[in-house]
Amino acid sequence: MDELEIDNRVKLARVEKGLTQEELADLVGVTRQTIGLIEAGKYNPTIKLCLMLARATGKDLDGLFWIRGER
Amino acid sequence: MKPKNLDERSVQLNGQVSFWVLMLTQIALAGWIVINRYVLGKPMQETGAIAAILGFSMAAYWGLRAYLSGALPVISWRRMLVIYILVVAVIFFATLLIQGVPPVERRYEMAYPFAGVAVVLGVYMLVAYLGKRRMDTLISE
Repeated sequence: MDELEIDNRVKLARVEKGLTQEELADLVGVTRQTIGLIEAGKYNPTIKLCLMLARATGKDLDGLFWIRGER
Repeated sequence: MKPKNLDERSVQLNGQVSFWVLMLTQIALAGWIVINRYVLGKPMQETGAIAAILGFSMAAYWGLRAYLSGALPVISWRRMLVIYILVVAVIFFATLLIQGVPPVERRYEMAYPFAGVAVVLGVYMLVAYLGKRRMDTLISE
């Protein structure tokens, strides 16, 4: 079975909110590197972190993360 | 308010690094035992302590994993009895075929399969039962 790929719009949402990676990382309690990897699509965050990112950027969860090919 | 949780990627990395280092350590210890016993021909007494540490490490690691995951199927007593009889029979008769009947002063060794398999299956049942109970408690909370 093919591995499920997740796409996200975290970088766009962060920039729209006027936050740096460091600031967003501080808001959700992770490192800047983790935010960088999420934005690059190289790390799949847990649902808890996804929700925290959605809250910090003022977006809906499904506006921030989706399964590749479904949008 | 800034969350106080540890970076989840670091937690994942800690787990991965711990796993690989533990596996490498166990392989190194097993290699050391094999080389000392079968290449250098040292007596079992000289490798016994390391073998015990290795055995404890492997049993504790896999036992804890199985317990915490709660994924080991709990097998009924009747089915476990059938498995016990089958495994003991295979080991007992295979040993008998390969090594023959031991002399009278070492006849007690014939009981090893009975005791050994009972201990292994007993530990399995305990870990499976406790793991399932823990998972049921967590889910029902």
